[in-house]
Amino acid sequence: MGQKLTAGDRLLLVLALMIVASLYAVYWGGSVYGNQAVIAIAGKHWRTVDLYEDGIYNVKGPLGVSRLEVHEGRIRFISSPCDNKQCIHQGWIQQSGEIVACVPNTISVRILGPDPRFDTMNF
Amino acid sequence: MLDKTASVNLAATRCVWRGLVIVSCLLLWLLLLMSCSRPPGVYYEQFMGFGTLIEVKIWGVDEKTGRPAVAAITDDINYMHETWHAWHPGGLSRINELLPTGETFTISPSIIPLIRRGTELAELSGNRFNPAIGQLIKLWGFASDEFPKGPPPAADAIQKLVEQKPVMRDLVLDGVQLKTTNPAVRLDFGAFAKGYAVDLAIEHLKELGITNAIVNAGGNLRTIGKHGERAWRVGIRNPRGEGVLGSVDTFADESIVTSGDYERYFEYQGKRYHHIIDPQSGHPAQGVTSVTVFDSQAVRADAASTAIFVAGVDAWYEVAKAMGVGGVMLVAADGVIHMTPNLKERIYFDIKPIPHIIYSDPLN
Repeated sequence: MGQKLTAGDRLLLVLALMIVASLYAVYWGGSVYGNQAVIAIAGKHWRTVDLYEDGIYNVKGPLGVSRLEVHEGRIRFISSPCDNKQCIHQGWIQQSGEIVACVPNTISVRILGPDPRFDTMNF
Repeated sequence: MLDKTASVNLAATRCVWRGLVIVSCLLLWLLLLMSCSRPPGVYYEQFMGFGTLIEVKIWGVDEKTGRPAVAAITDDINYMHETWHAWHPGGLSRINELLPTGETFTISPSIIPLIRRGTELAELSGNRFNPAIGQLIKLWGFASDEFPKGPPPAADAIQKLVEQKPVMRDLVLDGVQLKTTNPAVRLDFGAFAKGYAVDLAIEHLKELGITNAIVNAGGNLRTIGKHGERAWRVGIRNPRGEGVLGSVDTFADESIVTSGDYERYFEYQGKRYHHIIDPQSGHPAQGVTSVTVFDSQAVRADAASTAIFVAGVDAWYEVAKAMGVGGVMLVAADGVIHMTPNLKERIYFDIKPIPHIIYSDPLN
C-alpha cells in the first residue's frame, strides 16, 4: 500500500507497453498497404500513390510522358505516347492485385492491398 | 548499522528477482514477436522482356533468396528473346534469311527444341497454330515493334501467301542442319515463345529450390505451389470493357494463357484488325474475342490459345481435345462464353450479369 514505483516497476510497465505496441504492429501493420498503387518505370519503383488523393501524375518513360489519373480510389492512363493506346483502353483499375501497363513506354501500375483479390492478372 | 546492511541485502535480492522477471518478460516478448511475426510474405519483381511486362512472385522467401532467383530468370528471358526474335537481328532472323534459298544451313542448337515443339503442336492443332506463316504476320505489319496503322494488305498479296501453304512439316531438321522444302516458310514464334519461356523460367526456379511462385509474361502465366495456406489467385481480364471478367484459384502446378483480339490490333475505317491470323484465310480470325487455356504446360496453353481462337466457336472443342489441354474458356464475339465443364466450379465471374455460358462435353 502506498509504495512508490521502483525503477524495476517502471521498466516492467514500459515492457508491457512494448508488447502491446509490437502486437499492434504485427496484426495491423498490413493496413498501410490499403488503397495504394505502385507506379513503376521499366520494372523499377517510381512512386507509391494514395488512391484517395485525387490528382494527375506525369510519368516519364523512354517514349515520353504518360499521364495517370487518380480519382476516388481508382487509377487509369489518360494519355500515353504509345501507338495503340491499349493502356488507355483498359480503363480504370481499382481492385487490389489489378495491373495496367503501357508496355511501349515501360510504365506499369498495380494496386496494393493487404489481402489482394488477385495475385496476378491474365490479360 | 546492522539493520541497514540487512535492508541493502533485501534490496539486492529484490533487484535480482526483478531482473529475472524483466529478463523473462523480454524473452516472452521476443518469443511472441517470433511466433506472431508476419509470414515471410511474397517477394515481387517486375521487368520488361519479350516486348511485354513480366511479373515474378515468389512466396515464402526473403529478398536474399528472391533477388538472385529473379535475376537468373531475367537473364534467361533476355537471351531467349534475342535468340528467338522474328525480326530483330539474331538467331531466328538469320534463319529466315536463309530459308528461301532452299539450301541446308547450320542453326544455333538452342533453337532446335523450339522448332521440334512448334512442329508437334502445329500438327496437333491441324496447323491452326502455325509458326511457319512468318510472311503473313509480316505482311499484316504485326512483325514490328511499331503498331501497324492500316490499311490492311491487298487481298491478292494475302492470297498469294496463303496458297503456298507454309507449314512446320516443310522443315527438314537433321542434327543442327536445317532446310525447307517450301520456300514460303518463315518462322515467327510469337504465338508460343512466351509460353515456352515461362516453362523454362519455372523449371529454373524449381532448380533453385523455389516451390511457390508465379511467372507471368504478359498474360502467359504459370504458377507452382501456393500462396502460403491458400492457392494462387489469378484474375482474368474482361476482353471487352474495364476490369476483371472473373478469377480462378490455380492448382499446384498450372498454366493459364489468354489470347485476345485486344492485345495487338489496328482499326481502319471502323473495322478492327487484330494479330491472330487464321493461316487458312490469311485474315484475322473472326467470331472470337478471347480464349483462355488451362494446362500443365505454358507452351501448350500458349499455342492452343491461338489455335482455339482460330478454330472459332464451331471447331474449338475438337482442337482443344486434339491438343490435349486441360481446360478452355472461349469468349465469343456475341458475348457468349463457351467452356469445358471442369471449369464450372473454378471460375468466379466478376461481371454482372453473369454471361450466358454454354458448356461443352468433358475433354477426356
